[in-house]
Amino acid sequence: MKIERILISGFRGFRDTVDVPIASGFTVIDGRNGVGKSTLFDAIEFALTGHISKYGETKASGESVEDYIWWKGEGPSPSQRFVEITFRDGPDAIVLKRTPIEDPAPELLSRVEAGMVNAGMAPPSPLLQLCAASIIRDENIASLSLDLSETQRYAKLRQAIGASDADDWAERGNRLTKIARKRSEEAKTEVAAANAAIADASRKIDDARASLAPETAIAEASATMAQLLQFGPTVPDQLISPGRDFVALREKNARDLTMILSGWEGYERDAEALEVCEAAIEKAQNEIEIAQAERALLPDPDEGEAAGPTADLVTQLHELRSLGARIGLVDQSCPLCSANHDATSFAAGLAKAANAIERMDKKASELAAEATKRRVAIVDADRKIAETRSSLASLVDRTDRQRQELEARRLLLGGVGLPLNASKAEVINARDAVAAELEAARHALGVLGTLSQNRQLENGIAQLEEARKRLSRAQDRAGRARRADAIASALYDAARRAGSETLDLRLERVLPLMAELYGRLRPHPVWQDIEYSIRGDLRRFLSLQVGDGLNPQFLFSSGQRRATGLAFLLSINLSLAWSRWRSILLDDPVQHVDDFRTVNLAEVLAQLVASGRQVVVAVEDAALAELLARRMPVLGAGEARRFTLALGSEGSSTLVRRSDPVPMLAKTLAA
Amino acid sequence: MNDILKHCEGVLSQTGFSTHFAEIRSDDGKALEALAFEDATILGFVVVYETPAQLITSWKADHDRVAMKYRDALQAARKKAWNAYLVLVSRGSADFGESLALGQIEENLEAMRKITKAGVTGVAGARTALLPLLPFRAAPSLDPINMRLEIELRSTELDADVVAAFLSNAEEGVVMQMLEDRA
Repeated sequence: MKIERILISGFRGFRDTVDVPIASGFTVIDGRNGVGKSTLFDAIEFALTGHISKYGETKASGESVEDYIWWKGEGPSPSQRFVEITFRDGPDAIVLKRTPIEDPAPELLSRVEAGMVNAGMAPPSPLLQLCAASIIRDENIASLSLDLSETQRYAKLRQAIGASDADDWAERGNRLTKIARKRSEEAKTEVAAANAAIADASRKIDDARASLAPETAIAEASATMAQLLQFGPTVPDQLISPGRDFVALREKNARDLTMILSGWEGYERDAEALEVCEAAIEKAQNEIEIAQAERALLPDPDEGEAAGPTADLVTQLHELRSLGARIGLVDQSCPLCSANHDATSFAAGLAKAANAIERMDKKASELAAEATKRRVAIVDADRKIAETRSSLASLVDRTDRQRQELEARRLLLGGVGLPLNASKAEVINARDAVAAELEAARHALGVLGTLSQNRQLENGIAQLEEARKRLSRAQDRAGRARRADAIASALYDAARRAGSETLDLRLERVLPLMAELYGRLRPHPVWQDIEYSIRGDLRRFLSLQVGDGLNPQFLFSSGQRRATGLAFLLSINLSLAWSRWRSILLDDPVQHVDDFRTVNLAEVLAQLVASGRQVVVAVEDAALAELLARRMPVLGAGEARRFTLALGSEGSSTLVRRSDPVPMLAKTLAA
Repeated sequence: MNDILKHCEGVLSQTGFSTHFAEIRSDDGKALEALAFEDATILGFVVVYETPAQLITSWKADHDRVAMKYRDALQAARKKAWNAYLVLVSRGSADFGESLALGQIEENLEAMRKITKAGVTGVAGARTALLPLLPFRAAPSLDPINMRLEIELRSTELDADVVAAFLSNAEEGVVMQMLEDRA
């Protein structure tokens, strides 16, 4: 597949529509800086990929090359904005057109890709790779060749000629190896777990065997327990649970009996004291009744006083007589009773009154003393009743406590099966009997308990058997996983070796081409040969040497390095095993390259054209373009073209001259 | 006839050049053996020397003798005359100084394009000397690689079914199961 035509409008520096027919063999374009030579190469890349890669991802002030794809110059706007590239693949022409709003139809791009690429060999994004390898730009000649690191250089060559799916197979092998390794590790873990389970089961078995009682001991313990439980002949297993209940009951009995014995003296005292207290209560109750009866019989203290003179009456009478005495007779009349008296009778009357008052006073004093005596008797009787009642209450409390204590003992005795009147000796005997039974039951239970160890032993043996089966399965799985790992590794190794060995074979075939191109371009007058070598195992390097082990990367001048780089990049292009694109596009390849080496390049390009390649070259110098045009093989019309680009009056790039080279005279040297 | 010229003639003929030998005599009667060659685009002459020193000493005079001899033809060739070559080779090898001198001859772009080469012997030497004029000889023709076949060739110790499963489009889990089953 070759390029047939470049038609652009409103693209980069081309405002107006410009039609550039590309020769099938050789096309040279000249023009000063900024007239759009590189834009023609940009247009081809843009049509194929939708991008212009030479600017990379560079951004400035938030802008990138994407903002400058279409015309941004002064003057009137372009009537159209598009890039249209016509590709020729034998009889078929395919036109790829991009506009600011429209991309080529996917089927068109697929057809172009199918025409440019050998299916099955191409790397991912083959059109991007093809543009990178086929459009050789001035600014990238050194940076993409001699200035690359040796590993990058190797990778570039490998990408050009490599068996593209080798990495996929190696990666598949690597993934399988990782899966196999992971499964192998899991199997190892399972083996370890199974071994641990075996060890655990074995330990349980050892422990169970160590704890297991002899059969005779089991029989004796069974008999003892059956006797204690008053069971008939019973399977030993069935004695364990009731035996545990028996031991629990006997432990309680032992505790109760111990409690009874520890409080025995107190119980005795309470029993004796209870009778005394009950008698005292009865007595106190009688005493209270008597006291209350006596209290009821006591006379009312106020009864005598109400019937006789009182001290107040005596005092009033005394004061009345004294008043009569002081007043004396009034008109021979007593001032007190108005009776007629003379002094004598009056005095006798006063004396008589005084005696009567004296007797009344005496009587009043006697009545008061009697009343006081009666009150004291009542108080004493009341106090005695109260004291007796208090004593009675205390006695009642005490007897209640004693009764409770004794009731508790009664219950305890009843609980252990003893009568209420059991003696202390009987209680002691009962306690000793319970203790003996308890000891026997505990011992028997301990022996019978080993029956569970027997079950543990059986369980342990079953676990061990299961763990051994598990180990066997795990070992089998681990063995399979190891072997699968080995097979996966072998497949991975085979895929890697297949990739690297086929690649090395190809490299061995490509390296002479590199050396030949170097020899043809002759960057250096002395070191006319270059040695390319591949070294390294895991990391691979492509080394370049001239002379006696000298590195041209650091030895050559700028122009020589560029010429060496051209040899490398042209070799890469010619080695693209998967490419069917026959075009090589060189954008100003001879900057910094002298005339002599430019002639060498012209000879190389002439041979490329002669071999059927399509070569498009852009240069600044018209004389250089003429030199190139003269040197190219031209056998027929349309095989070579020469254009000159310049800026038009309004600053838009335009074609200003076209002069197609014509075939030369075939035979000029006579024999 | 100089054997190197014969070798050059053979190489050029094989690659489509028309050739003829010429003997150019000087005024003093000395003969200069040369090989003339031509194709549709270029024409030229091969002159052989025994040593680089002779080449360095004589090339200019010999250039002029050849140019004089073919003056009419070169004039008639018109644009093709721009693609006229003079290939100067020596049988003896060049030392460092002579290599530099040979390089300077090549870089002299006056008149015919000069190609120099020292240490030329045999057909291979002739091919090396004429390299800029010859088609690419080392361009490899790299056929597609059947990587499945290459992997099969490198895994013959493995079960063929396992290799086939690996090289199939089967899911890796399926392939892994097969690896374990066959392991």
